[in-house]
Amino acid sequence: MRRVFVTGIGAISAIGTNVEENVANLKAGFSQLAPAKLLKTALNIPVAELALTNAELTQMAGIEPKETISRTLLFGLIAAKEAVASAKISGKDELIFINSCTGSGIEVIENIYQTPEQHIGSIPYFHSNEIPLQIIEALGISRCRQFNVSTACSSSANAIMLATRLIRNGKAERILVGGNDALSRFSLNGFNALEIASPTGCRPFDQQRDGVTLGEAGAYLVLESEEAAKGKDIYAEVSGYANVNEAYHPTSTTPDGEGAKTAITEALATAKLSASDIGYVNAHGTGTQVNDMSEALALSHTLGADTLVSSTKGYTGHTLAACGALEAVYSILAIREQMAWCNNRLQQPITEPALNLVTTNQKADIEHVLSNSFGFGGNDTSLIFSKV
Amino acid sequence: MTQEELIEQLKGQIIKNLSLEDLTPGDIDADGPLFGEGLGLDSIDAIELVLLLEKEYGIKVEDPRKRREVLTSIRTMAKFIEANGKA
Amino acid sequence: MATYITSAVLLSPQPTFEGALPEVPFNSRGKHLLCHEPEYKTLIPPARLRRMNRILKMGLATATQCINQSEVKPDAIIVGTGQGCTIDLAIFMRSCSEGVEELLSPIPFINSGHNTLAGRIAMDNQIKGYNMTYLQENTALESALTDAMMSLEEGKSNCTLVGAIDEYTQLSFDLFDLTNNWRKEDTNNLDLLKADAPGTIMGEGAAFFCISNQPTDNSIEIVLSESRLNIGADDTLDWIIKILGNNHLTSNEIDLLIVGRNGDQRHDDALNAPVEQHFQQATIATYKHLCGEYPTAQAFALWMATTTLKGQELPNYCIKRKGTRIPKTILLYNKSERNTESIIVVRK
Repeated sequence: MRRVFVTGIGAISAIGTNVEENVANLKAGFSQLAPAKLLKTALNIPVAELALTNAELTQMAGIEPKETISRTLLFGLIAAKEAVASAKISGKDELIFINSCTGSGIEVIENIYQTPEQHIGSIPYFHSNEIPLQIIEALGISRCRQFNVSTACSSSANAIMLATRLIRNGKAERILVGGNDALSRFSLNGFNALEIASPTGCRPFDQQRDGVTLGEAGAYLVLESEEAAKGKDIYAEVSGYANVNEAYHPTSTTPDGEGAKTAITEALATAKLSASDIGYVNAHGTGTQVNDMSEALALSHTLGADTLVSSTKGYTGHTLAACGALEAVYSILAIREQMAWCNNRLQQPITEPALNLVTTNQKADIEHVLSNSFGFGGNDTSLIFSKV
Repeated sequence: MTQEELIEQLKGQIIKNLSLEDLTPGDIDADGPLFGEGLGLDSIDAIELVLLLEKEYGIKVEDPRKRREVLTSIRTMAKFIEANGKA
Repeated sequence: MATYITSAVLLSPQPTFEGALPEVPFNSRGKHLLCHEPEYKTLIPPARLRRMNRILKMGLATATQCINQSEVKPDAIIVGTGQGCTIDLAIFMRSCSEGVEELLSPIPFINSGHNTLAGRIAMDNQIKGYNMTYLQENTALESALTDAMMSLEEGKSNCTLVGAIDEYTQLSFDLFDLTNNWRKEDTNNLDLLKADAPGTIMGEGAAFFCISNQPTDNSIEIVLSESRLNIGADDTLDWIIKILGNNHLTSNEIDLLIVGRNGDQRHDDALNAPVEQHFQQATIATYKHLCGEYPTAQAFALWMATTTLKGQELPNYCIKRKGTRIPKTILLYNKSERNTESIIVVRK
């Protein structure tokens, strides 16, 4: 099997418009969960919103201003360009593009409903390829194989798994892969209707946790085969992956974490690693009662009780289809900085099962990071990133 | 409205709101459990039942413990509506 | 390693759910075609149909039928869709776009998730392996097939259920009508491919295939599934020839070419004629006059190819140019003016 290296990363989230801003705010323990200022919504619940308007993001993305522009697209453009630049590749290099978003610019589509005639500029976004198409055009790529993954909150983790498999199996040399999602009334009301939106701001793995805080992000990785990556700076290796289905409930996870256990165990097996090799876990940790307990049980069952565990959703909120890629970037940064990120906002850690929940950023010897992403539809994905 | 009338009304509303069209009110035991072994409802149905109480009877039930108590059977729902609602 | 289609079921505007194309095809005048739906209660226990919208029922029924007909049972599920569950998406978006963001039922939100169908199939059939969904306009089926073939090669799966699904909704019809996708005049679907007017008619369909690494008596080999975004480059034919070559095939070996002509006068010849001219020996068949245009319509063609290779004669109403050879190797080709092109090859 061929090895797969990460040669480029890009990220934009509520805590930064590029990778280094994200790192700085992770280190500073900065996050701001507050009712939306830019998204028009009647819901007065906290979100993790990036405090930049679409006009400002358009300028940052380096594209011409348009009357209708998808914020999801802008997150994608900014992070994809950063990833491509950091891998020192260009649109002329042959690559595959794998994208994932909840819809394709759901925050644009949801404006069409009352007066479609006034929103003709939004209609292209009803085509599910519109966002990847625009990203590819902006990168100056004229032809490429492309995949769009949509498996709810595990979307971009599954996209990374697909990319890794394509390279490992000799079907590709270089892949740009990631996800993007902007805040939308649709998602916010969906989580609220399911009674899993936090009224106070998410606190993953806290005894008093009361739900998810939604966020927005774009995050991309450039993955290359060992041969293609020769002579390049390598951030990490994607060493393990697994996806399983719980076949249990449309939105809820199994209480005992059975699906997550299998995903973690199979990911360790593909990486040929044992539980004790994992130095840090970037958990899915959404902040709901059910997810966090089931994931905690799975982690305590599969890994040692002293493995450092955190969810970075206390910083960024739950960025849905983008969270797998964003947290992949954070996992890779944990390796680069040799630092386990803390569970921001965690006050009263759960005690049963016993987990080593990181309460302040902690220097540690991190060779391998496990990153979990679980989605509605019983979709459980685990990825492992390793130091090279 | 008597409690029995309220129970019949609730059965009709539950069949409609929870898409249980294969059932008739006669199939539902007013004292049988709504979840698990009884009607076999799940957590999403629980949310729908809470919405039904709020939309049709103007009563909010937010506390999870209270919810479990109210949503035990159709009769417990009816008693709760009688005690708190406008019906 | 070779991979095989061990069962194929298609729900479409034609009575294909029974397993074959009809002698006389269904036809009607209009701007869209709807599936010939089965009585779902006879296929799926009514309790499981609760809370399901139409596209989920279409998908679950077709998937169930496909699993039942396959000798090898699937351990993984991959679904491709161009639009996903648009009805519930619209219901939920409308309900929260009108300023009233309270007392919303979560069910339309749950049902509008693009991977809801793949999750439901897994739940109802207790398939706990790999579960993936591609939301990818005109090339979702091709991505799903590529992934399935790779899973089988990896030995991660012995049999993967691959599906492609899209539904007609008034909403998507109206929206794409604003961008002139559809015929302005009512058209009989059997006259669609005369391409005497701009636009096409909207269709829908659900198709499921069990793909296995073990051949069975009736199995069809699936050789390749490729797609790409192509922004303005005029090298489609070179691309096809190169892929065929990579799979040790020559153009001359293609006996049957199934093209995605949809009757849109503005694009049909430009997108299809160069490829049709290249494959001189092949019979050329069409299908979108039978099912309408929808993102994953190439699944109709894949099902048609499967039934042809099983020995059913291709009806005359599908044939655009008759060749002399009995089809053994079939190329499916679909190109859209929205910059996507894809090919699939299957053989006996």
